[in-house]
Amino acid sequence: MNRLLFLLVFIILYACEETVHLDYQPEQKVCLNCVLNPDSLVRLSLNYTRSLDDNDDFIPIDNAQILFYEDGQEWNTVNFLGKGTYGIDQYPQIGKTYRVKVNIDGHLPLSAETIVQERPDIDTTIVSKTRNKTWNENSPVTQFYYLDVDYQINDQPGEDYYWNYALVWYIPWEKYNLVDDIDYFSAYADNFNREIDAETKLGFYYHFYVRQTDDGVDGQAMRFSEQQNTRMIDCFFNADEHYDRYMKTSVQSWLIEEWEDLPFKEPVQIYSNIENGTGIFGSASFTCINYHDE
Amino acid sequence: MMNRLLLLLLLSPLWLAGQKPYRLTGYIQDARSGERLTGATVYHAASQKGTSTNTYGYFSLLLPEGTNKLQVQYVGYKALTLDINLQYDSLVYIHLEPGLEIDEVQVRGTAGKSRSALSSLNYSRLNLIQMQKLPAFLGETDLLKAIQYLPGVKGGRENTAAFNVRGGSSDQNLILLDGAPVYNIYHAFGFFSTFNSCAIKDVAFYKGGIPARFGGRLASVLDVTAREGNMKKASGVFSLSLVSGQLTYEAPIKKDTASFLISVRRSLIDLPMVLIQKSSGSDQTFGYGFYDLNAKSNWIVNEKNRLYFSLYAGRDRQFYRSEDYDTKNRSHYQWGNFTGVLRWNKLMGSKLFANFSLYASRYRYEQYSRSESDDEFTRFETSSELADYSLKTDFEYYPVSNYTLRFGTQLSYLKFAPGIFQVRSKDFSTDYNRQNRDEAGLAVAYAENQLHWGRFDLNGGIRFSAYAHQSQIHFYAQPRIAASADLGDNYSLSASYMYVSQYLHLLTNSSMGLPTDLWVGSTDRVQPETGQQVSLGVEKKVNGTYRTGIEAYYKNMNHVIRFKEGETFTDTKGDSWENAILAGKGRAYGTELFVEKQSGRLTWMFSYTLSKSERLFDGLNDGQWFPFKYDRRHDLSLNGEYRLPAPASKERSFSFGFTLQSGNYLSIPDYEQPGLVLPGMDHYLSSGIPWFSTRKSFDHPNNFKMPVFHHLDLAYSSTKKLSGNKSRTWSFSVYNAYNRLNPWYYYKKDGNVKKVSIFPVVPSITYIYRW
Repeated sequence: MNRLLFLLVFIILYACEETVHLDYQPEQKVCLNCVLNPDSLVRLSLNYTRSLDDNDDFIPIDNAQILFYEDGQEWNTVNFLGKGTYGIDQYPQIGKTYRVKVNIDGHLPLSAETIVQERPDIDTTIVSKTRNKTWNENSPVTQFYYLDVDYQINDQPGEDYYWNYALVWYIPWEKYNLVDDIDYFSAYADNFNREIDAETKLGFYYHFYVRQTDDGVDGQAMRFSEQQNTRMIDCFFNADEHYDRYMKTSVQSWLIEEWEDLPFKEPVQIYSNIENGTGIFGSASFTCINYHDE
Repeated sequence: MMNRLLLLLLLSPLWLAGQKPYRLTGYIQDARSGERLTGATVYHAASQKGTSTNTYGYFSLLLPEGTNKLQVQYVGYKALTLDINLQYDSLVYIHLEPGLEIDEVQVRGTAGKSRSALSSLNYSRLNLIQMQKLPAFLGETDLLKAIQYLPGVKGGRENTAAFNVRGGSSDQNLILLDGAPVYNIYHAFGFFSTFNSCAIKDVAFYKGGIPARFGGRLASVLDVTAREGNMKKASGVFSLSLVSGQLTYEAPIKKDTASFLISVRRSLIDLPMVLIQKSSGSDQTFGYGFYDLNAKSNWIVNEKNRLYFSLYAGRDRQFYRSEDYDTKNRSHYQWGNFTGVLRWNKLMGSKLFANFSLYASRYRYEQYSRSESDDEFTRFETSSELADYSLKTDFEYYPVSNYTLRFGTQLSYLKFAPGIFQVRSKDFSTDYNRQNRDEAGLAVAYAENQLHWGRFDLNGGIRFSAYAHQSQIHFYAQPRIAASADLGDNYSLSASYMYVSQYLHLLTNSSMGLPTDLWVGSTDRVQPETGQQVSLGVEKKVNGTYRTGIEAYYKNMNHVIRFKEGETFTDTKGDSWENAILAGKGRAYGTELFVEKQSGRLTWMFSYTLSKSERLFDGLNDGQWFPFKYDRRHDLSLNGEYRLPAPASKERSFSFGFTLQSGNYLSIPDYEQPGLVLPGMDHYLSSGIPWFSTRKSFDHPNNFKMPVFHHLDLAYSSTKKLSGNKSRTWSFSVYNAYNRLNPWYYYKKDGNVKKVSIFPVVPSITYIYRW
């Protein structure tokens, strides 16, 4: 209804729109993006930022000297992979601290640090399994089961930021797609992306992700229940504090971008932990549960 | 010039006395309607003493025994000179005739005033007659847009009624209607105010040196008094504009004793829309409309007692209904104010005037939607409400002629219910944010001294306020002082200092005055706002025709609040508002200049403000000061009226209003950077939506200044006097006469930055019939 209201206002009041060039020249910064995953090789990208009305591709930085440190010790050789992308053919290890330093001619040195989190330790119990009411032998799209699942995250000592999202197998495209809205109740959930909606089962849902923290339950079991189905993969990742803030501000920014034609939003500053630059250097460790075989 | 003298004396035992002083008290009122006139001046040339009437038209003056010549004046009325033979303390009723000769001082924008400690740039009384003739957008005369021609007062976005005073935000303005605060003063999403100009009698505006009897807001006080009703005969006004129709009717209940006034205004936009939808047989109807109702009644119980009851109710409503074969949907979005005020004036002897007020003021907005079929239903409701119940006492004590002591108290009970959600369905029922319901108490006591001594005028006072919320009490002592000195040769120098506190805050993302703006009270996590302001200025009158003044000011503000990043007023997370805000500081300084031509066929006022306003919040802009959103370095206004020669049965005039301002600030991205595709979103990369691979960075809030804003508005008004007291007026206005497409905001779409302007040239017409 809010959208209808604003659409009404906008239609009534809309008078003139023209394309302009803004007379505003911000400084150019270096953007470093890298998220360490113990299940993936290390990949890092370096690019220059651009102004708002610049629609060209981001300019990659191909001449940077990059050093990685693992627990304070220099760690491996960084290879240039082309178009601003660099990598190390090694897997980062859980529990270790990694630091990156980047030198680029004409710029102050960039640096950032992160700790690789442990993978979410999750136990699941399928409480019930119900066949889809519209099951049709001639329609594969209808052939799945609903599952009521009890979850338990066995939290480890230390700050943890759990993010949950779901992928659904979309038969026409034969690939997994992200589920846009997740609805389940958890006492540990952050409501920053919750939406109240009377037409949903619980009266609310979360946009894209559910963020849960161990604040107040550090090292304890975190229990909640969800309804799944046999088309789904339910994924959790444990983000470090930096990637967690990057995720949260990115999702907030996306929610605001949905209203991009309206002037009433407070802009969101995307989090960055890159000294003398911008971007993100963080970590995320994944656990996924595939219900396809249930 | 016809002077009409009407005088009524109270009988008392006669004294044989010498030249001892006696007290002359009384009321100044409109000769035709009996309306008491606020701010009318009474001047005794022989002693060079003068005074002005209070809000209730009452004055008190100590004069020598014998015959005294008095000059009585009020804006829009014929000046009166009368001789009063004073042999004892006397109560008089002085009647002024409406009307003005061409060479009379007309006093644009600001009203002429007797000697006052406050400069014209700190305190003004609006000329409502001229306000009615200002060019009006879509034909709607608007009080809040009229005051934006004053120096130091700036509008928010283009053509909105929200205003900012000396670098303050719009919620830092106290808006009073008959002494009761009005919390949402906007119709149509901020494009019009809730004040029906036909129901208003007087408007006083303070933006510096605010006297101790006012409090609760940092920036300004707009004190609006509604008309009381014609005491002598029935009369009325009917008007039509492109936006609304208005009807005002007033009449005596008992002649010269009691009267009432009712004024109703209703929008016209929705009526044709609904008719068309229904006649077309559509299964959907939707529309939007608003209304205002002002009602007031008063009763002169006796010479010493008078009762008033006033009521305001107004509402905006947007609705939608649809019906298909098995489902009915209905929803509405509405917001509105209600105020009710009961007042009792009492004369406690010749030296003490008292007013007792009891009021209730409530603002509520709600959003409701319901969908039902044969076996299912869902209902969603969100609401926000603020209710204020108060008891006030105000006393004015006149011990000697050059000194007035004002003192009083206030007790208030406040209830808050911001952002409450209810969700109901066949299987589900829950409420959110019940913990947001809150209440608070406020106690106030003030004392204010007004002294005239030779060439000097002084208004000094102190206001004590205690705000109680749960177990916490916020107590503030707020000193206020203003002084002026007559330097001779028509020069005057004035200075002021004030310390103010504010316990209520408006959470808003814009200055449009949108209904989802939330009023919340201070809590243990959200401290009251406080502020200090100093000003220094000089004024001069030239040839009795021109008036000019210049004033500098500096103010600072503490605990000002704003939404955190990513928070919007459209938020429906169901979370506490306290988690969504930041608290910080503000400062503003500037110089204001005005020049006014007050008499002749052509009258005008020019105002210019050079100012700067900034904010500071930890966590924003690296903890550095940044421009306030409505920080406009230069602000220039020129408005005027030319009264055309016309026969006695007609009045015709041209009026104009020109505004030139520096653009206000926007937060635009400092730059764009490559963004990481978030987990699970890889397939969105092919969607072409830039967000998934790009992020915008806002390192610096309010980093972009929009282009210069300017527009010219013109109006022509013609009034024909009919038989009796009837008249008919046609007004033609053009908003933005040269079609300047001022930017309203910017956004990026499809790789291009777009500028949106929403007000091109807009002609309008208004018809007014008076009887």
